[in-house]
Amino acid sequence: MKAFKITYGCIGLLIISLCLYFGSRGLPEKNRELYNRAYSISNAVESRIWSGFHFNQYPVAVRKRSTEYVLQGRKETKREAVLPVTAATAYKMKDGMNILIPCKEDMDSLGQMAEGLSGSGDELFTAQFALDKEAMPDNRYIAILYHEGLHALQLDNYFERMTNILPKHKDDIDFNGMLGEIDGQTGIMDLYKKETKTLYGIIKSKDKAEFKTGIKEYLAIRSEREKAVKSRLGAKKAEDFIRYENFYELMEGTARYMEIRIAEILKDEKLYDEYLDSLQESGTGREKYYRSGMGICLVLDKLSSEWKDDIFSRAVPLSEVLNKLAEV
Amino acid sequence: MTALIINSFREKIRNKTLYVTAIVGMLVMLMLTCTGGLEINGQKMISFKQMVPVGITVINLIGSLLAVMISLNTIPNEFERKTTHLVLVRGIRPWQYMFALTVGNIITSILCVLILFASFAGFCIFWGQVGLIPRALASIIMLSLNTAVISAIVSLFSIKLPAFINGILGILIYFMGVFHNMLTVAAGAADGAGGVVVRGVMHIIPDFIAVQNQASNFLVGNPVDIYPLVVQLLCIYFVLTLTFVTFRKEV
Repeated sequence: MKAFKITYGCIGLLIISLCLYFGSRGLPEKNRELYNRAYSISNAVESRIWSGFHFNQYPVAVRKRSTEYVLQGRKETKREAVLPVTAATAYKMKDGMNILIPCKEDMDSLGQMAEGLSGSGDELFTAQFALDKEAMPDNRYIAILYHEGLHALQLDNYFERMTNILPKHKDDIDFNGMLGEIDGQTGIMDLYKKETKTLYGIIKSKDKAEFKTGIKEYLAIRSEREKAVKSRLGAKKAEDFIRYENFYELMEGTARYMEIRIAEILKDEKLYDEYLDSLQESGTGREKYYRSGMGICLVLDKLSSEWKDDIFSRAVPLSEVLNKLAEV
Repeated sequence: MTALIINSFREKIRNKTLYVTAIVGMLVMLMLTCTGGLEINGQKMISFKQMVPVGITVINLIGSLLAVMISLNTIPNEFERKTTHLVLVRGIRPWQYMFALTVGNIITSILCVLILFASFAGFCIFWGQVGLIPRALASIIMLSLNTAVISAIVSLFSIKLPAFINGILGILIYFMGVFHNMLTVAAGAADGAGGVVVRGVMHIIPDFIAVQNQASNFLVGNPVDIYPLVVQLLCIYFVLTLTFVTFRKEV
């Protein structure tokens, strides 16, 4: 019996030691390397993509389990994780906006799930063991850092104005319920798909006339889809629903647009094409607004170089900006 | 001690219910993975690549439910049949007996998962993908840490709690562990005393999803974080240690 007690005690000590050892290992170096790469392009992003957006002014908190390693330039500090769960997001701390992001190793497992993209419950349950699940490419991780960085800019300066797009009685609205209902309508979903495919065509077109016709066609399909939403949900609910769509396109579409432009800055053609090709695939849930918003932003880039200057302060739906610029 | 564990394990594998349940589980597995009748999100699951995650998820789910069923009655049955008294009069101490029965339950539960895996291996052979079997086996062994935890917890509870309540509790703990991330978010948002309680509960619920993530990383060739696996081992060790101090009044 003595032998059992000693062996059992030793096993316990061994397990506790392993826990302490593996639990105390700090942030893998890879994460610092990726942050430094992101930091180094901050000025180029400000001058070439979004004037007034200084990624390097935001501390980036990289989460490894329940510890966050806060990186800003050469400074690095350590703290307890501020959120109860692993997520990529922008978060207001006492000392200002922080970009929160899971470490690269966790992002390899979670992928864009950590960014909060929607998927069906069934997929969530089984996608974990998908054989074609790949580690997240380094450049996509940097692109997501910038996605959250743009949210930090939005939340820090314009969030109240941006929420003006939402219905006044937003607390009484079940947007997710409506979203589920609309996602279940094959006809409407086909129109969504047609919209993003048209945006893809516009972005790819090299002919001016084709470009202009493409925009008209896109706006017509969008209007047709909004009518279909009205007839499904009723005028009042549809108006609220469309306001939400516009809000997500502005909030998340611009952030996804930032991702694709980062791929361009990093000269990662494969990643750029992946983002662009997503316009040809059908998206469900809120993900479709990430894509359509990104698509509209890319079209706006072709129409004007100034559309970004006051897009958040004016908080106008992207489709309205497109409509206006296309008329000129 | 070893003799007690072996006897407890033998007793379990003599039980026909175990085989019937395992065969039903295997049939469900084979039906789902080989007949091509499954649909997820409106999409038919027909290719090998699509069916692998389904197969592993099913093994994990059925294996864990079997672990609850296996561990539920072992200890209460021993008391009912008065075997406990017969064993204890031979100088074996109550804690040794409870510990041995719990370890027996854990080993049987893992064996069940491996039996289920045999059907998955059959599925791989059916598709001519034998090369995946070793990786999938290692992934399943990682997942069986979760099975061992749930088996240990249900065994421990079975010393004190009625089978019905224990069964519900076991299944509840399993699903709370699988949805640990989401529930932690919900708990974080809860206010007042209730929120504190819920957050406290989430601290003691084993994080099954963390282990599942590592098993999935291994399967697809991504780097594996050892920490959640070691934490699960510690959890098993802790629950096993609790069997040393948990008795029934009649013992």
